[in-house]
Amino acid sequence: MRVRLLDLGLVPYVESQTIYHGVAYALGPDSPNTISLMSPDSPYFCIGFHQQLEKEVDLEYCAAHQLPILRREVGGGAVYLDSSQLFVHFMFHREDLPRQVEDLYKLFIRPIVDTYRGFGIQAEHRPLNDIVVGGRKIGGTGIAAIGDAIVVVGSVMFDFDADTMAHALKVSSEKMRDKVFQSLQDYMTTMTRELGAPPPREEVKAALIANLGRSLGVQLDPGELTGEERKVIRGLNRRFVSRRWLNQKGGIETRGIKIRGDVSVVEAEHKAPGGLIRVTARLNAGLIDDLSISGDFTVQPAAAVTGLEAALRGQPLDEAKLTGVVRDFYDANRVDAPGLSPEEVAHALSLLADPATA
Amino acid sequence: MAKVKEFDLPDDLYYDKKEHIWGRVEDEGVRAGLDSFGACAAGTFAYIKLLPKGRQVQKGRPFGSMEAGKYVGPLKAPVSGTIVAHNDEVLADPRIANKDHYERGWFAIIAPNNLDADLTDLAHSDTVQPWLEQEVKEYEEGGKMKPEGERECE
Repeated sequence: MRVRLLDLGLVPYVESQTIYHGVAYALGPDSPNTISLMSPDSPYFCIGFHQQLEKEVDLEYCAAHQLPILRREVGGGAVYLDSSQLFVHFMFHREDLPRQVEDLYKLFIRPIVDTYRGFGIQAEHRPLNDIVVGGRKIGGTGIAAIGDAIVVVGSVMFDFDADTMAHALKVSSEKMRDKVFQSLQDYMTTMTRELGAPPPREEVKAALIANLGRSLGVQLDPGELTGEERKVIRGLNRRFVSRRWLNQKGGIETRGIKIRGDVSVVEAEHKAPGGLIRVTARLNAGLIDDLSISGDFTVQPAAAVTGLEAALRGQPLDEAKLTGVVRDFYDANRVDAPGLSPEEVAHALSLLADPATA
Repeated sequence: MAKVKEFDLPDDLYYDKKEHIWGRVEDEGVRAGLDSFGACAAGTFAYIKLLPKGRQVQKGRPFGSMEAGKYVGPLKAPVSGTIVAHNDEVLADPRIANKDHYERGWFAIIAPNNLDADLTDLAHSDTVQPWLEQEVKEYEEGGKMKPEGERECE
């Protein structure tokens, strides 16, 4: 099979989204399958197709830092994007591809993983759609049907600005923002972090192109956008920056901030007789991986809260089991917590698992 | 009922052969959903969005969209007409569309405006079984779908 390769370098930030959408929408029966490589010439924040803008993005922060926001027609969560990422987009005829989504990810993630490995980074595909290095995510991927095309998006991550990402996300408290930032540090990595310095961009791109051809078993033909595609892209450039497109109502209910496939940061509040309990946690595969307990309650000794947070790490969000852990901790440490019974603490924690509390 | 391996497609329904969207002709209009093959390919539904009631839709054009298993795609209308009903239950819990494809898992009802013509290219009755057999065979033999037993469908 022959595949057109669009090696586009730096493009205006809007076009780093609209080009692949435009190629997909313009795909006709005689159009070639296409792979595009590009990076945005300036940073932006990008939300998933079904996300609601004001629920996901700190609009004040983005405005103050002149960080534009775009909505893509691919799913998933909000993400900060800039020129430190080399975007890889696949726009293929549906009939040329596997039917099941998991098989699509397997096919298109492979050349990206091979590219990292070629630079000594032990990346692997973690199904469904993450690429990880020793448990740390080094990029996500997404799939959408756009027009008559199947579109797969991915990236090679040279570097990542976790600080801006954590600030641009809408979160329920500063404690949660701190935990999101820490989790991005703990559970994400980049080529720069793995290698100590960013590798030469052209070398990485050349390796990626070679791996794309080899792994997909295709002949890559360097090409350009057609006039028809450019016309569609111009229309999309207008739509993608319109308020109407960005402010679509409704939206997928996401619980907390997803860091990696099975790692997320969540927060919940519960009004107990002894005061408000706010629990901010990082969950890893359903277990409490990190936890902060705060609120306007009174506990003696004061250090007991820190100890309780530590005691609850590694626990599943099972209210009965959590009640037992808290009770054991209270008994062992002679904790005096008026109006903050083990049942109340366990109930607050159990709300972390309930989407309605997000 | 047409049946090929784990896929069941009631043959009293009409099927868009490319999109695997089914339609059931009723008094109120054409009730539309995604068949078991399409749902298996997409994965677990996380979100379904539908165009508002009263909106005109064209056959083959989106009447909504879905997000499922790290995949986003349009829901394409099996017939042209006006959207007259949404399935609020499936909007609230999209996973119902994975579990009960043909009863509780429907998406919308479209009051058709060109029904007879729109139904002509949809699989129905005796044509469902051979179409489904061919579909599964082509995907499996072409290496584009895992063999039965290795597929993870709800």
